[in-house]
Amino acid sequence: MAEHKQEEIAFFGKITAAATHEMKNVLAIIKETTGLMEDLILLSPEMPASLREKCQSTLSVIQNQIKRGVDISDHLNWFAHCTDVPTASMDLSTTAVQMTRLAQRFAKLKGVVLEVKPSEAPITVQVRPVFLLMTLFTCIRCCLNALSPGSRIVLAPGEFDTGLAFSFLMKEKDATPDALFSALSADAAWSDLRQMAAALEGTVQWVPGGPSIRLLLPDSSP
Amino acid sequence: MKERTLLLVDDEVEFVQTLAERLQLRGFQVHTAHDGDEALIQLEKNRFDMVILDVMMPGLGGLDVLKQMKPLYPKTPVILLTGRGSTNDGIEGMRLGARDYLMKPINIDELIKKIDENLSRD
Repeated sequence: MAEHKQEEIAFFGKITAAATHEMKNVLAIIKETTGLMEDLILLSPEMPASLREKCQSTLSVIQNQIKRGVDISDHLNWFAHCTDVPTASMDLSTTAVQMTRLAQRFAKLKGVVLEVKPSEAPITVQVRPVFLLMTLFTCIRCCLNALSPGSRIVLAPGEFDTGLAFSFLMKEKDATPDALFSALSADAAWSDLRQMAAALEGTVQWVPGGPSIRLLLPDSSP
Repeated sequence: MKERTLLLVDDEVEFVQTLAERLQLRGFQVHTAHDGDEALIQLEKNRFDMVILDVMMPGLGGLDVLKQMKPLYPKTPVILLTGRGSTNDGIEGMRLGARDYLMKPINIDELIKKIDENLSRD
């Protein structure tokens, strides 16, 4: 039922946000425990050097994974809080950075590098946060479907001559803009994207000069 | 150097025990509490050079402990530990009188640096 949709989304976000908080506590315990093991190794001069080095390098692997877990948890927490309200003021660069991180696994599975180039000045827009993120993800999905492994996508928000937009630059060696657009327009996701852009009161453009997809937003700065 | 006494307050028992042990290895005397009420009882019984206080705890949370302890122990500095995605709790805590805050998972060297900085101010 449409009237409960926002409540459903907010519920999903609330539970997810709480779980990410729990996850941070788990990671904090693991971090302190491995830290204590490092301390105890340092206090054990009788330990053979080769064993000491092996223990320290193993603990270093755990510490790196803790950092990775914290990073994922922080991004998921931000994502979960996007469901708090139906509309909000969103900074385009923060949104682009977060979306890039959240979509990394999808890009990695396709063998494509996904990067972000934030704008220098803050740019905000009043928008439906979850729907904007869904639309950005659909843009990324369109790019991933059209590109070959080894390619790059650069997500760059900014103020263009046509207005506020997210630009998705598609870099594939030896691919022409025409070939890329041909692949894009044959994809069912491209049609979804155009509908989603319209629902945001924006538009999606193909910019052969990039070549890039440009998601234009209505200028609704608060 | 005089041994410094800390009160470490967090509902995550393994976290508190492990961090306490690491701080003891570094020369601190550490008391622990696992909730806000226990923390206030400890503060009544002992004098502490510094309180390390988790924000999110069941029952009496860290910010509530801070509000209650500040009028009673105004000279006891507090460093907050927050696990939230944003820094709002830390900022609110400093408005309530905490000296500083750290996001979990913490870096023990950073915690000790903040303890040293704040104790040398007093």
